[in-house]
Amino acid sequence: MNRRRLATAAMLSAALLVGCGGGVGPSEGPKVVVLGFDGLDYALTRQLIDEGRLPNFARLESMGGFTRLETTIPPHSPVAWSSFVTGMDPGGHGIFDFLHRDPETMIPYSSTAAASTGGRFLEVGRWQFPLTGGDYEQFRHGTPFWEVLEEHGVRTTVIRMPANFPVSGTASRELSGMGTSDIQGTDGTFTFYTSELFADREISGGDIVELDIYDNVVEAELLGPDNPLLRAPEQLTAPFTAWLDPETQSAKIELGDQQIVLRVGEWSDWLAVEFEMMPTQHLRGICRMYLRALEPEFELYVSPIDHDPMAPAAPISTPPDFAAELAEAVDRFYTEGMPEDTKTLTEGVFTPEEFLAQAKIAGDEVAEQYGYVLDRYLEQEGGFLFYYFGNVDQIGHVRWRSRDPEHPAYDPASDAVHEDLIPTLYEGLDTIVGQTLDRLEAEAGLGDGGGEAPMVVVMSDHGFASWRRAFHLNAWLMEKGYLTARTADPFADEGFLLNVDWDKTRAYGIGFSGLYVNLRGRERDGTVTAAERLALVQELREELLAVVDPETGEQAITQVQLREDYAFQQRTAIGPDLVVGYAKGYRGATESASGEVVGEVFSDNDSAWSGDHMMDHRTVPGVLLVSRPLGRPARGIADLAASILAEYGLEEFPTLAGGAATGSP
Amino acid sequence: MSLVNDLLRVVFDAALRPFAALPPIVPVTLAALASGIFALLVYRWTSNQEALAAVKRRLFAHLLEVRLFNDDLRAVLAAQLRLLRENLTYLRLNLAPLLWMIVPFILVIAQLQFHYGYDGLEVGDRTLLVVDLAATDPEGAAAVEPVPRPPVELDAPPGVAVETDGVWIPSLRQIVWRLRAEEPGDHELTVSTGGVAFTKSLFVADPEGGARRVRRSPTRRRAAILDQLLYPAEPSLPRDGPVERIEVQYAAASISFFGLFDVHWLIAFLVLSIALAFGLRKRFGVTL
Repeated sequence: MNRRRLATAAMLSAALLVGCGGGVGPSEGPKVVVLGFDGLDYALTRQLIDEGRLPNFARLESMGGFTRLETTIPPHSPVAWSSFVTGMDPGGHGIFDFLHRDPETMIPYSSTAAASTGGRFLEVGRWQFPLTGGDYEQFRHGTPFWEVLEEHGVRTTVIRMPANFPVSGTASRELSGMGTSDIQGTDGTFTFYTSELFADREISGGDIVELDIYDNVVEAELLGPDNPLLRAPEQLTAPFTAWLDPETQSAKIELGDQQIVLRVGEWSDWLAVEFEMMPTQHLRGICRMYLRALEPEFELYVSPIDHDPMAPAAPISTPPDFAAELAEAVDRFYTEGMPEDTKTLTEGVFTPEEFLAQAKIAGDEVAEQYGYVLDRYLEQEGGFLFYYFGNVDQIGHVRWRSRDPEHPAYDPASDAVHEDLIPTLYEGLDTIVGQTLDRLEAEAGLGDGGGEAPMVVVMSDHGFASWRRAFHLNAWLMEKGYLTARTADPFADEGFLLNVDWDKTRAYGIGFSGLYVNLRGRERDGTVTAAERLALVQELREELLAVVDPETGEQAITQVQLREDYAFQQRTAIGPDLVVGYAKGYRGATESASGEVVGEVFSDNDSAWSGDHMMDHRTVPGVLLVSRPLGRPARGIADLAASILAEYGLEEFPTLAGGAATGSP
Repeated sequence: MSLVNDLLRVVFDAALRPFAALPPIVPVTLAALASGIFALLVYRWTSNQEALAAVKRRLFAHLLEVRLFNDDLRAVLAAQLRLLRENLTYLRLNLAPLLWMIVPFILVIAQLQFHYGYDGLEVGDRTLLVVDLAATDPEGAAAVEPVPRPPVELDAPPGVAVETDGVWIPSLRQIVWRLRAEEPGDHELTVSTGGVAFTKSLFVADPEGGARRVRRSPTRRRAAILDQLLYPAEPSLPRDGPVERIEVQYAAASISFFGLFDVHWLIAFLVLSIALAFGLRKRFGVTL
């Protein structure tokens, strides 16, 4: 065969092989599947199992065991999941709260990750061209347990692990979870377009855009981030047009080269969005639209614009094309960390039913992808799989009061109908557990006398409780003389610690549980010396534990931990000096968490955000269910990684106790 | 033109049917090979081969001239002028074969586009049916008074669900329905207005059938010459009828280029046609 014929044959062979994919190679170690159910409450799970509503949870309990899983101090999701990942407490992994502050500038920032736009630019006129790429920084310290598994040849798949954005890059397959930003770099900013006059107002987590309608035609723009290629900040936008037909209560919407028709009350599928940064450069995102009303006012909700998993501009998966693989296998999906748009409810944009419809879309996506991920995992001979579900947590936050008629914001008209909502969500998770057990048992061939089924672990990071009363920590500090405000006018307080008179302040609060000493040499305008610090924190602890809610007569704070109490001490310097643990039913006020100072010390929680867990960690334990007893039992969430590694025969991993934990299972 | 399109549809449907289940790059490569050979034959018959050979020799000579006399600015400039002139001559000699080839190529490309340029709907997919109505009011009337909703009806066969009422857009004289594919098949939608009915095909692929690459027609238009040339996949609408255009949205498709990367079929076709024609030119005794 001459060279030309050989080339032709090769070409034809290649043509015939098009579409054939490669197989999955072998991996080592047993199979362990961990299902992470954010916010699954121990007491409610126990109750529902006992009532027979969670048959697959009961099946797991009978196979291996069911126990409470101690959560972290403080019991916040990014803190608890970081402890799960690293085996350390916040003193080791460095995540103490949702918010930290820079003591040199006193500016609060997200505790888990930050983005940088790149170091050097070539500036030409109004343009700037990055010479070095922008980057995302992960603030969690410590070694993820899956990295140890990978080092020992165990293939790991870690899907939506909270506080893992940007992805670690050390798992075989990873998708980032809670903490992943939308395309604007926020936790999720929706846009609500309305023709209602004077509707424009400042809300948290969203933008309200007032617009005009001419001849039943709406011309508007989707809002993106600032154009990174321009020297002066200028927001990127993508135009869209909606033609309204009041007679049929529907509209045609055109965005780029996509056209859709929506009836009032309908959600669109995912729409691709392209923001033009310059004629040859585009930033790609995705969004969903919800046509809320045409009359009497036009109302259109546009979801936060997420990174397009087909071409994400942020490191959301390992390998980088894994997100696209998922999108091709199932569909595009929410890539932001917490896709349930709770702000629509707390800000009064959606009714509970509308919010629940949106949350269902987000939850169904996660469940559908789980099927694909489990299929791929089962192709392997061994390996580790973690998969996260956050629906129960996010819906629990905004609908918990439907279970609590004593809640100050309980509305019999709208809440009573949702009394069984959360148990129903638990039943949905029970179905997931059942499917997992069935698939794994079938794969192990148990019915044919096969070997032992892979291990299944169901765990949660914390439980839940009704949040009835808010404690304004900074107002309390001011009342007690530890903090001085520049102005006593609550309407002039901009939050973010801007109202603090630092020269006259000894302690301040930021975040949901953090209390910091204004320490000289650490804080920009510190007033407390290192010698005075310990006495001050002891004094604060005693005073906080003595706080009584004048309205209920109850002790509002039942636990105060000093940073010296953490088992790991490597990173306590960036954390709070005291961690406040609120009694069940109490929580730090949102205003105080974001650095507002003035106002009343206690208030009723009249928000839709009625369920929470940022309390005394002993009151909100998570759950642990296992399909067979753990070789190395775990008492708390920080012990669990060591227990998982022990299933693979790996014993070297940090634990709070510095060795084998105790407890059951 | 309609007769030509009718004939070409039958020919291409029949010719491409055996390859429907194969990777599209296979029929595209064969079509490129046939087109390349056709182009070579047309080129040989319609071009002045002796003149082309002479021009190429002179081009080569002037290139040598530039190289040999590069220390003589006047000679180099003169040689470059002559190069320019010979290039123009070369283009002029190519004009005739290009004119002979352009119409057949447009017809072929238009037919192939409707086989390989669009992804078919699958069961569960949604699409829009867009109907543009002809202007009937006196010019300027629409700007003063709202245009009333015209009586347009849509009949969908079993297997296609009509999910919304028709959205009427007076400013565009357009009515739009949202459809959902429920069963595989080559369905026929019927749009009726003013006592006249028009049909529109809607192809829903059968995931079990394998025959995924068959003709899909996204648009049916009035019988203007250019539209007939560019959109030959369905018979044209009557030139004086009440409907200007009926369109179904199919997503644009790409094909795998021998498993190396995905590309629009037209790019693959043009690259392969040129490469194959170039490779076969000596066997066909053609000077290009």
